[in-house]
Amino acid sequence: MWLFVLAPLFAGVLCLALRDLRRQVALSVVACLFAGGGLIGLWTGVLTDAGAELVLPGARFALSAQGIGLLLAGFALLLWLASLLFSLSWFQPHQDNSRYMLLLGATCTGILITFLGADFLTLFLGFELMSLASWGLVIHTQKEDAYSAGGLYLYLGMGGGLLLLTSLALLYYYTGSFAFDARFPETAPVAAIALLMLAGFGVKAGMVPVHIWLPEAHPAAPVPASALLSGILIKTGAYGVLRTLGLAASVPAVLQNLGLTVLLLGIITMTFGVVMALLQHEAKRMLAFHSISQMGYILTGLGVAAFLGAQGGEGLVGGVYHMLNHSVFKALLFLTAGAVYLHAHHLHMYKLGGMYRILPFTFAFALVAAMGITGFPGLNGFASKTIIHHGLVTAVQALPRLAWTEKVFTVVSAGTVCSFIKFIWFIFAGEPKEEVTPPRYTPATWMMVAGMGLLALAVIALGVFPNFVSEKVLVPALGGLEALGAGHFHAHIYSGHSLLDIGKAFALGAVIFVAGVRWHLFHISLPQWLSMRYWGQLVVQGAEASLTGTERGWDRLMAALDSKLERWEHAGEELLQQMDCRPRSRLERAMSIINLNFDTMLVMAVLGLILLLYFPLASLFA
Amino acid sequence: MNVLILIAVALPVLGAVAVWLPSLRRAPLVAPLLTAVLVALAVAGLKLMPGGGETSTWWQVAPGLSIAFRADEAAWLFAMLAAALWVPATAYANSYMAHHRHKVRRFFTFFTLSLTATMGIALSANFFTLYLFYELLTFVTWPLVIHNETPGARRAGRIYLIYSLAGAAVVLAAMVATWWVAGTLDFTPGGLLAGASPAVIRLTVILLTLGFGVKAAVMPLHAWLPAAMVAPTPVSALLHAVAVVNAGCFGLLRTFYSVVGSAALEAAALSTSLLALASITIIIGSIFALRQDLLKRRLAYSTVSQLGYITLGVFSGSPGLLLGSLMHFVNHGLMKITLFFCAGAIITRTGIEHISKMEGIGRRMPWVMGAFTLAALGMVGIIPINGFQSKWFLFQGALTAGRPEVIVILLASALLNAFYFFPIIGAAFFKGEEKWQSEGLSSALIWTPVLTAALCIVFGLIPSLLHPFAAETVQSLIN
Repeated sequence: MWLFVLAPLFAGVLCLALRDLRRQVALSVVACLFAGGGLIGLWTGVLTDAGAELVLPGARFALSAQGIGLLLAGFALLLWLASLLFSLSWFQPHQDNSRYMLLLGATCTGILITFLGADFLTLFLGFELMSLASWGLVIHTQKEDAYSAGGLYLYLGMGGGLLLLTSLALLYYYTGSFAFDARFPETAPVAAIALLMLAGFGVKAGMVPVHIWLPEAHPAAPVPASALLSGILIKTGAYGVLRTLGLAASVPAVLQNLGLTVLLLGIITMTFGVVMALLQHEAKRMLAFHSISQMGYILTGLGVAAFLGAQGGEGLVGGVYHMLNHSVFKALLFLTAGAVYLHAHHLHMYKLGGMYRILPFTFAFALVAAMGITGFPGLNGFASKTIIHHGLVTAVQALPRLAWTEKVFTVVSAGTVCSFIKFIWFIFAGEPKEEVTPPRYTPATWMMVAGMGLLALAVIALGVFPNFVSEKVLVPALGGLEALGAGHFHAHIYSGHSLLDIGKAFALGAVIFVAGVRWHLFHISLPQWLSMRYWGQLVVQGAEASLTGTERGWDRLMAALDSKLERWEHAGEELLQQMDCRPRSRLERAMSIINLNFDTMLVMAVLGLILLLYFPLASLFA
Repeated sequence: MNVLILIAVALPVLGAVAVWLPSLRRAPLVAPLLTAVLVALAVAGLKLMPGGGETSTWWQVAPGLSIAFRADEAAWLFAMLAAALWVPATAYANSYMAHHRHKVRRFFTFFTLSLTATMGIALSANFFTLYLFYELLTFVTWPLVIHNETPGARRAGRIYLIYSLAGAAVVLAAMVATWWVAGTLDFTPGGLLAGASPAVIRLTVILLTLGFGVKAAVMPLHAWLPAAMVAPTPVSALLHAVAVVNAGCFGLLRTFYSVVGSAALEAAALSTSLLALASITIIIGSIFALRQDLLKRRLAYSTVSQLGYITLGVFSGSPGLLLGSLMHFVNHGLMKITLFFCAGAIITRTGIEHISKMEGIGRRMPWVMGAFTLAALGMVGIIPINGFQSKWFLFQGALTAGRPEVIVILLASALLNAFYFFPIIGAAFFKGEEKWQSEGLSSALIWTPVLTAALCIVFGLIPSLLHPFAAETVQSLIN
């Protein structure tokens, strides 16, 4: 099984030896199909789990091909395939892209290990590999803003990894295992462990307030990589949060509070993301903020599940369903934005227009994805958002003080609708505002279309049979998480109520859009001091300034000391020379005191000191 | 008299003489390498053959004062590490000196003599022997520091001598104090000072910390280490990442647990302040490293900081932290020697010494920078490289010892490590427009770092290569 998981990485390493992009992609696609076939084989039971455990003397890394992890791993491979196909047109064929292919493969392997890890240690292994490799993807373009975004991403990721490591150390110390369902003794600080994990995974999940890397890093990467990053990589964070909640499930008091925390963080995250997204004019940045917002939905669902415990089936299934859904439509949206970029060479939404004539396929795919993400009935977003909404309503019934969250949920859905009306309207509809080169249909273009088509198919497939997906696929895959409500779920997605709710959101979204265009609300720029980044930069600058100051002071002090010492040394040498009798013969000169340089003098002085020390000490201990 | 110990300690002297054999044209290159291999085999044999743990006395200087050796667990751990790394380091030095032809014979004489000093420190059976070889180490490495004979090198050599000799003098004072109180200097499990008054124990502990702390680069006493970076890179790699600094740490370990003893250490009640000292070293060392542009100097400050991990465990007196620090003792040696090898290879091949000029170096020297990246990731503590092992055991030790504040220090240090290593990796692979090319693995300048980097991963993936030996050592030091 490790063979399947490591296949993308090996393919990436082999790509170093190939110079031609088409061959590199072909090799990677073969690896992808190999891994995918292997996973399907394991899922259907054709292949046995042999080699799932990598047992080394003193260490054990285990994979398990079952449940929700396997499902997410399958989606990771799907996204990798789509982004590989898209890479064919994104990069120049004769440019050297071996670094990119290696990093993409390594990221994919990291994601697979994270999802398929049978315990927290293996999960952590994949998580770190993924963090590092994806850092390379973020800075691959070698542009100034990519470096700054990459730095933020890397250091926040490292910090998150360290928090995770700390929580693992605590987990192992108190339970002696890394299992997902480890049992805690009475004395264990379960809440602290869970919060550390939540923070560590939250960084990757784009959870407010540790989301700041996401809107910088995702647009900075090459588009096919952004699709992978925004599509599936951030899901590893959500998956980690799910595992954290599963771990805490054995302590119900902690679980409920933790659930409430995640729920509230989710609501804040979704609101923040959508508000910021509405204010963007660059399409990729807007999509990145929507990733934050949609992660908020997922976190809300998971929070509901943990808050309601065994009754929280709707939150759990809805959250996980939304993880799958968001991975495909967000990747698809990034790829369509990339396709537009290939022809227009920029993504400033207010300057584009009329692309539906030039890029009809892309327009169709973008429409499918936008309908998916906004929750248009019949597509996948509608199903998962409705289930999460039902879960939230149940949570409100349990704790009426949360009533406002349900209203916020509707407003955020409306904001999403508005945002994607903007996306479709400004980029694809109307007349072109500038000259755009129409595409030449080469094999590479068809590959790109195929990549996007795969994802569009997934969006539709996940949406057409929501009852089947949620009840027959997700619920069995969530086996083992009964404490979060996996056993307590019945799908009733298409009802008058839910259609009415989404209708309200669409109407409100349209109203916001019209009002926004009318009064130029989308061009408001928020003051700088509102951003976390601003304060972070202040702190870094302050630290730098104080360090430089201290260093300068220290240097000055040392220089002063140095010159003093040198003067003493000179004086000492002169004194020695004066004492010297200046002998004539060579032998005498060799023996003269002048040849005893300062070092030797020092040795003698130290030896003298030792002798001096010896006698007082001797008397001291007598 | 144990033959293997005789080979380990005395053979390098012969090797150093053989460097001057006029009849052999390649003697300066062959003799040190052969010596290193034989010594490594002998040390490995000490573990395999029965009776390795017996004391063999060479020379009774005075009643109670003898030059004696014994290969117990702690001794073997240090001796094996140093002897094993001496082999690639010598191969590397051969290639390095082939490029920088300057008094090759003199260089290899002292290089090989350093092995004697290191083995003597590692295998010593009493404080007197330890002290003698500790002094010897200073004298035989000093010519290596000033090897380039530039004014800067001479100045660095002077600083090195001042610090080291002053430190050794303090060690001597501690030795005298021990002799006075205990009447013997033989290392014994459980220590010699168990019954002494707390004031005496405290005095001894402080003297030992000051004395061995010089070579272990405990913070206010660290200044010689960055200065000594003017030495040729093989020297920096071996002596200032493995042999000399680890000799300081080993001296602390040996004297704290076999002379003072863990019970007496507890009675002295100094561990909190000593831990604070180590923590300051860890953090401030990292901050200094952050601000260096010369690669070797950055690595030197990184060494200062990482040695803090080792002294932390030694100072704590708790078995868990000591286990972690012994793991780091070996792991840090492996990682740091890799980093220095890489720095030397870059300097030799391209003449670049400054980090700010390393843009695109990774594409010109992918093997070397690949090895550098692995070792640097290990320094940050990324799973599955061996640095992760040390950090993991230190974490567990901190929890067992009830000192969670240590974890905070280690986390901060790991993040600082990331701050000063990742910009190098980023610049090497993600800046500039160089074309990919391979530098060829045939030169020892290139394959030695690749080899040690591979060892970093092997040790990281297979904890049982190291953990049992470290655990055994802790067992023998703290009952």
